[in-house]
Amino acid sequence: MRKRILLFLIFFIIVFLIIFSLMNGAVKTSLRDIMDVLFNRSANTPDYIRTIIMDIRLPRIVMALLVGMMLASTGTVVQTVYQNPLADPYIIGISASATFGAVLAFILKVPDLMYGVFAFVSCVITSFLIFRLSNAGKKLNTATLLIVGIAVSSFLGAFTSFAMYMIGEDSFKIIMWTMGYLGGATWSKILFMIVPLVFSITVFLYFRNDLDLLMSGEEEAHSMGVNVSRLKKSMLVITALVVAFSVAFSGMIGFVGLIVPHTVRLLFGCSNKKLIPLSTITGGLFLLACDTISRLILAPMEIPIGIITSFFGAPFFLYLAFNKKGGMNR
Amino acid sequence: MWDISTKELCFAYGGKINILDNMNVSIQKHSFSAVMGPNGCGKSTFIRNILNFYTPQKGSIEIRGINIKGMKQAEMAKIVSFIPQKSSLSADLTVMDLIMMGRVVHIKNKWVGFAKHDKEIAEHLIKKLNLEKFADRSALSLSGGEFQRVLLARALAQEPEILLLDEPTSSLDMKYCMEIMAIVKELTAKKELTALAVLHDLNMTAMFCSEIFFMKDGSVRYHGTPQQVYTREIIKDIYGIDATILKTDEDIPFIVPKTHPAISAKKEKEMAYV
Repeated sequence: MRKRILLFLIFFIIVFLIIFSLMNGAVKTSLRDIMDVLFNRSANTPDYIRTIIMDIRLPRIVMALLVGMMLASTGTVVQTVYQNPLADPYIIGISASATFGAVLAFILKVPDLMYGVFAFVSCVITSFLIFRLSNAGKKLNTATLLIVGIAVSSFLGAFTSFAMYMIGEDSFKIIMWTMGYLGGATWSKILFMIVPLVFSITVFLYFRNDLDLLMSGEEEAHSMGVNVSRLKKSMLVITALVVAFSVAFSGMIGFVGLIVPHTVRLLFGCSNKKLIPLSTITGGLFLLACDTISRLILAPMEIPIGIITSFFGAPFFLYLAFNKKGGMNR
Repeated sequence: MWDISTKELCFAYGGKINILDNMNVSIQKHSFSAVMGPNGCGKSTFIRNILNFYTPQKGSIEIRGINIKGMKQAEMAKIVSFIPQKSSLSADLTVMDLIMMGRVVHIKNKWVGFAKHDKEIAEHLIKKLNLEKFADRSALSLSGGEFQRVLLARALAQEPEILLLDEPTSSLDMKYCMEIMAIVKELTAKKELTALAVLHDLNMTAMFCSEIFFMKDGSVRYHGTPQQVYTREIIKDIYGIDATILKTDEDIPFIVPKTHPAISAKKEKEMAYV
C-alpha cells in the first residue's frame, strides 16, 4: 500500500513539474495558455507564447525526462554489473569518454546527429577498457572503482581540456558538454534519443532476472545458468550506447545514475523487476526537477544542469561511500 | 551408474602450476560423497571445474555420461546446482526473492517471467526447510545457519539432479551443521539427488557421507568409505598429524588428534578402532 502511494506520488510530482516548468521561465505563461497551445483550443494565443511552449520549454522538459531516464537506468545496470552501488557511468569514466567522442566529432566538424555515434564508439572502447582494468568485471571494490574512474576521467579529460584550449573563445559547446546543458533541446534530437532509450529499457527488462542473479556474484550466477561474461559485456555495450547519446545531446550530467537507483532501492527493494522501471521514471523526475531549478534559480540566467546535479550528488556520494546501510553492499 | 566422472583432469590457473593433476573421480548416483584434504590441495578448484566455471587444460568431465565441454550454462544449471561456503550476495533481497533465483533457469518466457508453478516450488521449499517465518525478511539479516538453509533452498529450487557444495558448513555451529548435512543426506537417501561436498570436518563427514575422496597436491590419494580410509596411516599422509581412530556404537569412525589431552594412553587403547 505504502509503495502504491509512493508510486502515485512520483507520477503526481512529474505532472506537477511539467506544468510548473511550462509556466515558469524568463517569460511567464498561464495554465490557460498552456492548455490552449497543447490542445490547440484557441487561435488567439500569441505566436511567441506558442513558440515558447512548443519549441523551447516542452522539448526541453521532454529532453530532461529522457536524459534522466537514460542516466538512472544505466546507473542501475552498471551497479549490478560491477556489484557496487557507487558504480555510476559518470564516476567510472564512461561519461568522460562520451564527452571525448563528442568533442572529437566537434573538431572533425561532422553533422550534429553524428555526435552520438562518435560518443558511442568512444564509450564502448572505454567501457571495455574499464571492464579489463577492473578484473574482467568481477565484483569491484570501491577503491578500484575510484582509481579506475579518476584515471580514465583524467586521461580523457586532458584531451577535452586541450581541445578547449586550442579552440579558444569558440569552445562554448565543449564547455556545455563538460557541465551538462539541456537548452539545445529540439524535437529532432528527442526523436533520435528515444530509440536507444526504448531499446535499452526493453533489453534491461528482458534480462531483469539474470541481472538479479548477478547480484549473487559471478560464481553463483554461473551456477544458476547465466552466461556471466556474455551478459556483462552486452549490458556494458548497451549502457555505453545510452550514455553516449545522452552525453552527445546534453553533456556530462553526473550523479543521476547514483542518487536515483540508490533511493529507489531503499524505497522499493533491490529486485531489478521493480528497480529498472522505477529508477527510469524517478530518473526522469529528478532531472526535470534539477533542470527546473537550473532555469529558475537565477532567472533569466541559466545554470548548467551538471552543476545542480553535482551539488546534490557529491554529498550523496560521500554519504554512500561512508554509510554501509541500504540496498547494496560494497 | 556414475553421475559425475572425471578422467585425467588437469587444471592450472593461468596455465602455470597444475592445481589439479590427473584427477580421476567417479561419483555414484544418489550417493553423498565428500572431497577432503589439506588447505590448498585443489578441492574447491575441482568443484568449480565440475561446475564448468573453470575450463580444464586436459582431461574430461562427464555428467551422467555427457561431456560438459560445450554444454550451455543453462542446460548445466538444470542438472547441477551449487552451494558456496559464503554467498557473494550484494543486494538486500528477501528470502523469497533469493529462493526464486533458483527458478530463473526454468523460466520459459523471459518477457513473462516466473510462472505460478515456480512460486509454488519456492513456497514448498520454504515450508520443507522451515523458512516460513523468514520468507519476507531481508536475506542479509539472517544468521549464518539460516542463510545457509536459504542457499540450500535456492539450490533445490533449480530441481537439480546433482548438488555440489563447497564447505557449506564451515562457518556454522554444530546444530546448523548437522541440520544441513542431515537434509542433504535425506535427499540422497530418498534418491532425489546426488551430492558431492568439499568438507573439512572429518567426524561430521564420517557420520553423513558414504564415500570419501582424500586429495593431496592436486590429485586423489585415497578413496573409499569412511571405515576404509580413516586409518592412522592415511590421516598421517594427508594431514601430517598423528591421530587416534575411535568408533561410535554405530561403527562410525571418528578421529581424535594424538595430542588431545582428554585421551590418555589407556583410554586410547580401550577405544582404539584401527
